Amino acid sequence: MLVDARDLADGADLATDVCVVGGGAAGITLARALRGSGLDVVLLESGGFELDPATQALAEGAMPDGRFVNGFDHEQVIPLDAVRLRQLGGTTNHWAGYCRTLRPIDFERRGHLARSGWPFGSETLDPWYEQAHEVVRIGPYEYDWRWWRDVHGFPAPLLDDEVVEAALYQSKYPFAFGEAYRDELEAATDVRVLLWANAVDLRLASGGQAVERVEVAVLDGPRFGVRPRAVVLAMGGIENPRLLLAANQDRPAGLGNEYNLVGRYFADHLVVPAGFGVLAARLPELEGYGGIRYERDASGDPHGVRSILLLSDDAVRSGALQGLELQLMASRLGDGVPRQDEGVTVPDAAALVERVERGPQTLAYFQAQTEPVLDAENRVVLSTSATDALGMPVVEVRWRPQTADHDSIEAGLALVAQRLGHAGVGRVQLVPGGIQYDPDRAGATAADRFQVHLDRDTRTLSPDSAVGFHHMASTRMAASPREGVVDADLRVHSVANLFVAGSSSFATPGANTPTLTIVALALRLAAHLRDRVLA
Amino acid sequence: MTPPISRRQALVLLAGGAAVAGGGLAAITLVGDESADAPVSAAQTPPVPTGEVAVIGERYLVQFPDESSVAVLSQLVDLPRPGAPGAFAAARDRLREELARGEVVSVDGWVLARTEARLCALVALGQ
Repeated sequence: MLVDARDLADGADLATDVCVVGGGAAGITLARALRGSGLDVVLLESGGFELDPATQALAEGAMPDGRFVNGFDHEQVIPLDAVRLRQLGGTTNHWAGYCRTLRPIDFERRGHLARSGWPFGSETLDPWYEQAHEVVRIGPYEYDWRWWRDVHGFPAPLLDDEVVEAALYQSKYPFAFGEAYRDELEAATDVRVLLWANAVDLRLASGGQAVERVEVAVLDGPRFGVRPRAVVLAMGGIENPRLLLAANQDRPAGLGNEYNLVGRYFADHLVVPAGFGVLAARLPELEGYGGIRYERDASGDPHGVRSILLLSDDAVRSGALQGLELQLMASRLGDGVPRQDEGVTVPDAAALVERVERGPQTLAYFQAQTEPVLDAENRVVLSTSATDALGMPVVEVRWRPQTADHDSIEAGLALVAQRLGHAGVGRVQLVPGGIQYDPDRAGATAADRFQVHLDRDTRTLSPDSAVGFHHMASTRMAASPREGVVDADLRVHSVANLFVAGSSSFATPGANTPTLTIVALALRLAAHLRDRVLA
Repeated sequence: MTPPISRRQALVLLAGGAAVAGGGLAAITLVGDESADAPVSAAQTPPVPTGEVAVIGERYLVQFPDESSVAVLSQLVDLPRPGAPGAFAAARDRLREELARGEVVSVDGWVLARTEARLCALVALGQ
């Protein structure tokens, strides 16, 4: 059922089996998965059905080091409260819907990548990924392009070899969890969704080994408590560590922070315009890279499938690289080319490609998304002076893009360029100084609005970067409490009944978008709570 | 001493891959006397703008000024001349192998096979 927490009595005390804090992809998945289990669930959602400015302001915070910026215009800063959404469905209210599984290599400990590896292998998540497909309502659990080609006529990729692997994303857009599952949650008798309810503290039982009470506050409204048998934080990679750190009445450093790890290793994927290419390919051959829409079933429910280029596991290992994926967007060469003030331009390269490869030509734009290295100094901390309207310390996200991430993008794209050249597909330009996009340039085509910068200093010296807004690893999972905040079952090592869902608990982020893994982990956690913890 | 590679020979060698791969125009026209001094007909130089290719060569030579002579570049390229048996296959294979092995240069960010860039430089020097 849906409950307006503004109508609750001040000082109320709600008992439940599981208190889920946060009504986004992880929280809603958990609540749904626990339906009918015999367990009672209270889900606390900070907002309502629509975005509310006063509630959204609770997500404000500072980024004193590097900032999140528009990839084409670093002057355009993206503030923290524009990134995360406090409304039912959370950030799925504005996500792009891209889904892909982490790869087996993402779960491995790699010698060249510090703090890589999960406490379990990819096979542990396989069954949950399959179920997650149903939750997100994408296509079958199948990521081999050959299957999609054979069954649906999906175009073959440009390249699929030992270095550059052809991979797929599945997508569902728009797909806001709150809207999709609102009716189901409203009808549920064993799930109470409390709207406008903000968790502001976690209090331990005497003895200090388990959470006894979740303190809840409503803006300009009542304050009350939830007494759960288990608590799951599902508020995202910034708010999860924020609440753990702010819950410092029973443990001065906050909960789960015995080794000063809560908030550390905060990571995001750099998502940057990386380069252009001139390809000896016809535009229809590249259709898969733009995405093709299919129907899930006879109801006509649509989803998408899109090709990407990916560094193979062997390339990552042998090159001591981070994972890298490239989206490719293509246009007709005659429909415009990026501007470049000096040097070898797209038309120059096109003349070469026409001579060497002698095929029809298209312009390709490459957008790179790289696996971030985990740096302990990239972290979420609490302001020592500022509080929000509920009295909670405001968050500071101390983050800088890692030089290693930029270097990995360049090295990876260079490899891709070589393989595309080797295969006779075309030639690729890495753009070390970045690419600007001027949407207001009069009379220009989309391609004409790009401006290439060759001076690498403009980007590599900047503390700012475009990212995927995939906040990860800030309560990372590890077998040992000395290396991570939660264990393999997502339980905070030092608190018996406190769990952390979502991408903040990723041990190693991988290169791909996180939501499908968030949902898979939430399904696994729900089963763990149902069958073992609270059975 | 390695015979110098002319601008037109460099252009023809750049097109070698396409010729071997069955690129129609090149496969038909790239025959006959293609010694360094022989005139190359318009048909033998496919109608692709060459100024752009020369730009690539010029930018390469800015990076590698020690290679700014036809003699040096000809020696470094060291490919069979057009007209010699297997010349086009050799050019194609060289470019492909260099790209596979990472023997590449970045010319204003464009990732090119080393020999490919040097052939462009020969085009630039021959202008």
